[in-house]
Amino acid sequence: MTTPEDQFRLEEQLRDAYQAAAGTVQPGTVRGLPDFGRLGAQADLGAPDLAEWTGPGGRAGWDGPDGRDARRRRRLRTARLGRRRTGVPAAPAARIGIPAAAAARIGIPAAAAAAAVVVVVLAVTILVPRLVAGPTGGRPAGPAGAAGGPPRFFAAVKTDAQSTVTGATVLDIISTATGRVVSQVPAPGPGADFRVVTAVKSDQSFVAAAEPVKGARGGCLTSLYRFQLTAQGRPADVTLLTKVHGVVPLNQLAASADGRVIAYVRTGCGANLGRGQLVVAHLDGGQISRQSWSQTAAFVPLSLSLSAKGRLLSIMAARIGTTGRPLTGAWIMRADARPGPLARRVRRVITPSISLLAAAVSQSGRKVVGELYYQSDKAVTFDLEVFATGSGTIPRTQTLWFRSARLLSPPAGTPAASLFQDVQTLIPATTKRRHDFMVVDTGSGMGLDGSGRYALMFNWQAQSAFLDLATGRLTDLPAPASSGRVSSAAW
Amino acid sequence: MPGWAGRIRLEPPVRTLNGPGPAAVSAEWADRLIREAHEAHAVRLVRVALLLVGDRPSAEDVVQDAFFGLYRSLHRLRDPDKVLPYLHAAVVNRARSVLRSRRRAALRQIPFEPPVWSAESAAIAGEERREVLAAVARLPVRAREVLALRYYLDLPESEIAAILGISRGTVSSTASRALAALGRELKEKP
Repeated sequence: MTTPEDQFRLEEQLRDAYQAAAGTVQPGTVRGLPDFGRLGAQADLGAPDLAEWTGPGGRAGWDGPDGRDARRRRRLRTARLGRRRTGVPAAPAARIGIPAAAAARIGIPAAAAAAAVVVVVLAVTILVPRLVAGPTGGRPAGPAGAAGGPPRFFAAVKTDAQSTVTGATVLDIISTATGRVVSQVPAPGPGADFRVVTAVKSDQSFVAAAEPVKGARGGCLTSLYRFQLTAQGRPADVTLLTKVHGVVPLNQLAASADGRVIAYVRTGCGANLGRGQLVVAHLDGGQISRQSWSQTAAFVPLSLSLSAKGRLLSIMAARIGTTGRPLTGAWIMRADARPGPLARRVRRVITPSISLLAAAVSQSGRKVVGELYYQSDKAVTFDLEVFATGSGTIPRTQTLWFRSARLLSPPAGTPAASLFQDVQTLIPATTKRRHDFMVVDTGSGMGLDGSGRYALMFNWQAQSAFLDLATGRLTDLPAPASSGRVSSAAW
Repeated sequence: MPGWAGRIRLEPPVRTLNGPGPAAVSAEWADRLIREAHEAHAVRLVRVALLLVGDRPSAEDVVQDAFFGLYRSLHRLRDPDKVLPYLHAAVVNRARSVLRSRRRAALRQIPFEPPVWSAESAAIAGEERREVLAAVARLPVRAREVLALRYYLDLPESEIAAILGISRGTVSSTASRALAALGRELKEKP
């Protein structure tokens, strides 16, 4: 039984302890506010990015031009309580028992890669808009969807139904309102097809990578084109930006919102895969300057995204753990980092695990958003979370969105790829609430519009839908987008 | 075309934190209001958040989020006197999200270094204080929230009830049980 005296003493103890803890926060040391007006009003284009990359005491970020990265990281690590600064994923290739060539191409076993493709871009892009667009999903100025709805058109690379044997692809422009193909971007030349497309979000233009089709001449050469859409959804001003020796893998092409910076991974072709390179190309009028970083078997990019100004790059990558199991994490790299091994220029933001499915940097560069899943004996939950780029590996607390799916069979020990197959199989049989399971139900990918409010979702069955991130409403396109399997899409 | 921040309107006429304001306010006005509120309350809010989440960076994240939430909710917040209660509630809710997220991270075996009140921490002077805070940290989240609001912010029960969305009676009983549990924890400590 507590006496009143005991209680009084306890209350005083508590007050004293609280005051002592609170006293560690001194006036003048509290972090200021971001410029909300700029975050919201000028939306994705005006937000600062590199300026936010300062460590404690206003010191420069993790990868300064003076090359004192390691020492700086150590200082940062000790300077902040309760947080862990990141290490650099630099496990030597020799320790990783996978063939370098295969890793360079896809990085992880085919099944896992397939699962990653299914979900890679989906939730990532759901998150970014919530970070910057506000509760009503307000739309910034810009041609893409400026009239208050989703963009009128999107671009989709799909396997040509007539050419499934050769694997030829076409780049369609599809109406959001009708789901019908309104035009097709002409193949850049005989024997070449568009394979990957990404959107430049400041205007309704796109960057697409074209490769020679199988058996065609032209060597191991990928061409990057930029084109714009007319009001009628017809491609115009198809311009060759640059040629790349090698292949640009799926999801490994990104453009900044102003279109002046393009990032891509290039690998070798055919049997000569070699080790890939991450390349950042700065387009300045007719001039192109490139910076590249070499890829190792221990660190294999799976998808790229760029901040609005193209100064920060987020890389979702696979690392092979000591057990041989691929782990995916997210790293950040400054686009002006010194050349060298990619693994030594990145900073980890999301710890590699089997849980991370997708990640992308916000337009401001302040945050990396990740889609993670958690599994128990009975359910799998897809969870979208925000990680602060400036504060290390501890997951940030903002859960933006999550969906759960019940599993029919216990997934203990089930590899991720099998798990997703299980879930995908389960969904149609157990629920009609397709909305709840859109991540696994509808897609192999997703693309955000320029405002960040509408997310385009597409899947291999050529079913397309778009999601209003402000309301959570999923709208199926009235007709199948097209025949053939959509492998890349953007708006 | 203005972005969403440019379209903010406060209706009906409202007062700023320092007095009457225009009927329809600009984004600049909203920005100024937020900054005034930040200047006035940020330190105290970070301290509360620190007591709830245990580490400074997370606490600052929480407070920054709370202010961002306030900015986004200005059009619904017609009474400026509600700014501080709104911020209190936002901090408590976001701190709860931090803890929830941390639990999930623990499931994924992502290590979290000890918060400021851990035995290893030199931030809090005095072993006894650290023990008290560590014991508080072992209480249920709701109990910790009630204790922090009551014994650090010295808020009346009615206000705590409003912030947490519970009844006054629940506040009272939660505080009572929390203190009892705290007393037991500290007595059991060798």
